[in-house]
Amino acid sequence: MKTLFFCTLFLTLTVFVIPPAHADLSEESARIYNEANDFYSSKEYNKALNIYTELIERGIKNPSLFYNLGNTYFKLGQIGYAILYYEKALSLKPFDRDIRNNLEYARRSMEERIQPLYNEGLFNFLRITYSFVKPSLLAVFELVFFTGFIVFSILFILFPYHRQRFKKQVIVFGILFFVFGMCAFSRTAYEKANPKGIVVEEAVEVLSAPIVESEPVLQLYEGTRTKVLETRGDWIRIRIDDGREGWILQQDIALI
Amino acid sequence: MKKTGNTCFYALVITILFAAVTTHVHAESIVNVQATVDANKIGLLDTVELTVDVEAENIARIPSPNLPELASFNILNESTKTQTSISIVNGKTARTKKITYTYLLQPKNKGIFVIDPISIRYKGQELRTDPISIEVIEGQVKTELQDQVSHGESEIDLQKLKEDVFIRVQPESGEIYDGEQLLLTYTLYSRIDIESISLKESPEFPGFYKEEIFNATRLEYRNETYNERLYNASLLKKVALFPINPGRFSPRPLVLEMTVIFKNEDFFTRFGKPYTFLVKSNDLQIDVKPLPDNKTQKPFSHIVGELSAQISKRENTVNTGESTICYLTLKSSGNLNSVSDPGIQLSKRGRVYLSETMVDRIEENGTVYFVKKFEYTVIPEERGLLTISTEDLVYFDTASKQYGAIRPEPVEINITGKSIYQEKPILGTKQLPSEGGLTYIKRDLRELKSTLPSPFSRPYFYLYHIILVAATGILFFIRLKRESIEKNELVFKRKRARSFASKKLAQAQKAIAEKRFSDTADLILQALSMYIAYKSGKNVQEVTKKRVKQLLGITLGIKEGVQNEVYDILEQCSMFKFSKQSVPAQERIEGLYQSAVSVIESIENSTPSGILSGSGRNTKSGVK
Repeated sequence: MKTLFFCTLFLTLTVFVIPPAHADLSEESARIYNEANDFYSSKEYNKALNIYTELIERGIKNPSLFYNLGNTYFKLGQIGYAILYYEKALSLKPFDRDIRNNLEYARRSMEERIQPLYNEGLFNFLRITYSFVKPSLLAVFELVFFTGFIVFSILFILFPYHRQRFKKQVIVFGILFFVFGMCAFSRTAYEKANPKGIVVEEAVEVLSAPIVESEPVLQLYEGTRTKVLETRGDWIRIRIDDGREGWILQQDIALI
Repeated sequence: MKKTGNTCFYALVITILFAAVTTHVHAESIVNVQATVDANKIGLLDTVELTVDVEAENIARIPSPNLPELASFNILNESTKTQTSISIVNGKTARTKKITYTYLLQPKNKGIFVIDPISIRYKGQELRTDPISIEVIEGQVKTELQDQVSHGESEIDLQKLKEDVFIRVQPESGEIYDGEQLLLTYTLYSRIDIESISLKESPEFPGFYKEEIFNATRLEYRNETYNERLYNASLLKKVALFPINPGRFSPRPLVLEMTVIFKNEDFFTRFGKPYTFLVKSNDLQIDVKPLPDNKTQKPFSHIVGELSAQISKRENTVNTGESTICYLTLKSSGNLNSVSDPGIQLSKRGRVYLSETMVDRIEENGTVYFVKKFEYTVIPEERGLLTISTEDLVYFDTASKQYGAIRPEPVEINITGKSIYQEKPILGTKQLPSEGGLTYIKRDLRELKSTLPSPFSRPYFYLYHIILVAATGILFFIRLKRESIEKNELVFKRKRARSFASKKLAQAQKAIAEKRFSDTADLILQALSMYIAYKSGKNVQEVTKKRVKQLLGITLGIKEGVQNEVYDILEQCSMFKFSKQSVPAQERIEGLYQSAVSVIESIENSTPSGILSGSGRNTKSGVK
């Protein structure tokens, strides 16, 4: 029994304590990132942009990097890309006040801001709450409740005379683990199936059908957030926050 | 020496392979740029299409091409087309993106012109195309119109045609200040009948903010004399421009495609021959002067031209806490679109929100004026006379060529009711460091690592779950097995309790026969204790005189009479065992033996079958 316990402990620690194999690479990236920050501070935004973009092309997905790149795009007057990178940063760090502050500030600079269909009272509260609850947060809760479920299950097994006491905890943690696990999985699957994008062109005409000759139904401006519903060749069907839908070319938006 | 060379070579190969494996595998990036024109020989009235193809493989952001200076051409139109294709070859995915930049160029003069190499920069390298030579001759050459003019092109006097039909663009002034309004008027002058007319290219004004004033939907002619010749003149377009930066600018011309009918005396062309050609507006050069330094020590509003401002109110009396509306109206010949909210000041406590901004345009005495109206929602919080005013608005007056300041007349509103202002800030709000509304960049880092968006994409997440579930499962089965064994042992003992007791009682009988009465008492004691212990699932040591009644009564459910009987037997046996002096008579010890046998028999018969599984079989065999 002791052997089993220690084996589990060892494997669990192995899972979480990962050796820093890429420490050198991340230090090198940090050096380049800091160099870009210097360019930004000296208002050489184009140079800063090139370096930040190079880091992103290396495959680095870091909220600070996305945030600073968003600031750089904002300074260069490219609101669409600024909002895109703030959104990317927010998806990794939903509780960061700086990111939320700058995202809101950038949205105020938009040509036209699309207001959600239901924008008051409880709906607004739910939407704000939903924006904080990312799959990563749900997964953290799921992990905590899963660990609790496992710990109480082990106690339940090892101490037969106290089973009545542990039975309640096992059930409660089991239900919470299941609920949060399902929420996290379904939210991840939903976001994968319906990715969000930001309009990066100055003005985009949204058409009623995926052909150039079709009727324009609305016009979107740089920075507008859209939900991708369907892809057909170079065309995508989108829905904006107020519920209106239409077709635009893929190149007009960048996915978050 | 050769061996050392080979070793070095292999070491190099291994190092490269190792580097390729250990670093993130990036697909090889390839960039190509190519420039072509649709014709190398064109007419002065033709256009040429310059196509620049930038093709890149496995690159997210394709660099834009740098066009050389095209001084001999007007760029009439620019367009971009993107194509993306994904191919999988030998299991490797290659993403090819091709951006085609198309420029429609119109020559300015005759001659041979060279379009210098077009370049792009990628990862420090410069890729260049070959230079392109274009010959421009008089008239038209290109295919579309070639067929139409194939019969007797030489008969059309192109110079005369240019004099008979042309577009004239008239600026108010050739030199303006940065931000000052410039009104351009495009007029079509014609001395011949125009069969049809269509817009080919709209004028472009790079370096200017543009406000369209008039766009003709049909031609309305009036007679006008130009260069001592009478023309039919029609206003085509009117546009107000506002330069964004100082410098010299050349707007791209307005191009119309029109068809006219030429009538000749010969038989074949007696009824007229259509001729289609392009007409472009005259070249224009606008010099934009920088504004002089602002010495007013006040912030400049970026309004250049005339300016008037006015504050107005909706109500004269308002209660505290109720909202009212007031307006700040600016009227200027300058570009008010670039003017942000100037803000209003309240003489008493209250909240102000900019609720709406309206922009309108009026034309007075040949000048276009913009009217911008800022609507403010004011919620007064303090009782008294509230004065609403603004700061000085500094503008550049182009008439006097100096900066001026204007402050609209303040308005007053009588505030009634109880003062309700709040001193405390909202909980949780904290002043953030700001650079004009934008929070500062994130500070420098020692390590820059990727943050995965969701733990679901990490294998460790699943591994953690699997390990813990597997460990708990194994633990559960081990425990289950152990409990099963323990339970089986107890059941076995219960089943065989009478058998164990019988063995001890058989030994006791033998001891009676050998007159070893003290041993007999001990054996009876052992038999009875063992029997009760096994039946109740306890250890033999737990069966004491103090607990025996409890065990019999609660665990086995035996009647009180039998309990007392067992207790008496145990007490007497203990007494015989430990009191060596009082040697029991044979009859007494045999009586004890019989009592023990009958007690075991009665316990066996009275114990519930749920507790003593399989006890019935032992009952039948009896205690011997």
